[in-house]
Amino acid sequence: MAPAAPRSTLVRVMLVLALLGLADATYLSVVHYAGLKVLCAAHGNPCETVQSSKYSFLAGVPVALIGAIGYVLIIASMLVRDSENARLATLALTLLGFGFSAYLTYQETFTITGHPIYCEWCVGSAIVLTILLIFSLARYLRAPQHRDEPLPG
Amino acid sequence: MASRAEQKAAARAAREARLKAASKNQARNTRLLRLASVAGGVAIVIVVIILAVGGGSGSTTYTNKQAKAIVNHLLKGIPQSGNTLGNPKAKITLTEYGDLVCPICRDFAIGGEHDTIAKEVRAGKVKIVYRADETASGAFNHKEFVPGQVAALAAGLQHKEWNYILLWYYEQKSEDTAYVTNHWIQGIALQIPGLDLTKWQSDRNSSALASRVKSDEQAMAALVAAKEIPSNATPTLVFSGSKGTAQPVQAPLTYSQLKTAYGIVS
Repeated sequence: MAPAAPRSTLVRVMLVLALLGLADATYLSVVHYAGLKVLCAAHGNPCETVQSSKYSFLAGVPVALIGAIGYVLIIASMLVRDSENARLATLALTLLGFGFSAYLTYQETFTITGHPIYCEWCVGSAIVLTILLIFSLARYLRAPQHRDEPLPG
Repeated sequence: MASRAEQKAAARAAREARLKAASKNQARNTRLLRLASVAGGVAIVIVVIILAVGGGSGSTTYTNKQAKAIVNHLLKGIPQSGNTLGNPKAKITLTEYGDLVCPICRDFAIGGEHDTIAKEVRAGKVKIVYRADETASGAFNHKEFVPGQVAALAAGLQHKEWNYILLWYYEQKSEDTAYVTNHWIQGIALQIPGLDLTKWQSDRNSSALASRVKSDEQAMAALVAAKEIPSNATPTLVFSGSKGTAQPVQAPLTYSQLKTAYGIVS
């Protein structure tokens, strides 16, 4: 069995970003289940409004928890042996997270109260997912084709 | 001049280069194809999730803290006058007959009504008028129906009736429990920022407000008598605009259904 190749700087940066996103989503999940007040720097605590809105649940499950699970999967896809499929899995997961984050940001801007309100924790996660998407796209497209790794399909 | 062997070697090299380039192109195309497939799949997954469950969790329960945050942000900056929410000159009027204990009214309040407050009412295109009608209260909270509605009207004297109504809906409990007590009624008022509680408490004793509740119920009874609606049920929604008044609807309309109704009367 070939020794695992050292992780590139890009992957290390992506892992740090995903861990930040995981911490963010975990915090919001804990706050939800513990019934704590969300820490929010903005006046009027818009985080509380966003976290309480109907858009913060999917089938009764807090989206923060779904986000935390998503970040765990993203991290796992980067920790497995580097391959075309692993890179594609990371890309698919970050794309899914980015798409859903964009949908939630739209709701924050136009729907929840009719005037834009933003939860800093959600914006933080949206930024992390945007950068992760760009990096995972670059990682997938720029990765060399290994002779021992035939392209599937 | 190159020898025959050299020509063969050059041709072989050129062929190999072409094959390598073709292989590289094929690999890149395959990779892009997979990327496009994944992007398409992800887009479908997101759309399906949003359509299936997005924004429709009527069964969600809210703590008082959450309800207060939502209602305060939702109503912030929207004018209120008595039982009317929104620009008094709005071209479309949505009159809602509701019972604060009615769970279907709650579904409407946190669903389609919430979204229309955030959009059309905030934009000054629609105003919503709330009128009282006893339905669900009759089961376990009949005696508290009038006091509850009067409490909302008393908040309306301070331009905060809609804060009271929406807070109640967001915090509503099962209609099968006698939860509406004086303590509950006061608890809603305590969550309204800026409400003069002394004045509100005093206004709760107003016989004029109690008469208004009766008047609302009589208006509803008149709609039933005129056969405009089949029965006494809440929410009953009446839409009126420049093109007249539409047939009343007795259902917790979604936001898109509300928009369709606005289109009919304006």
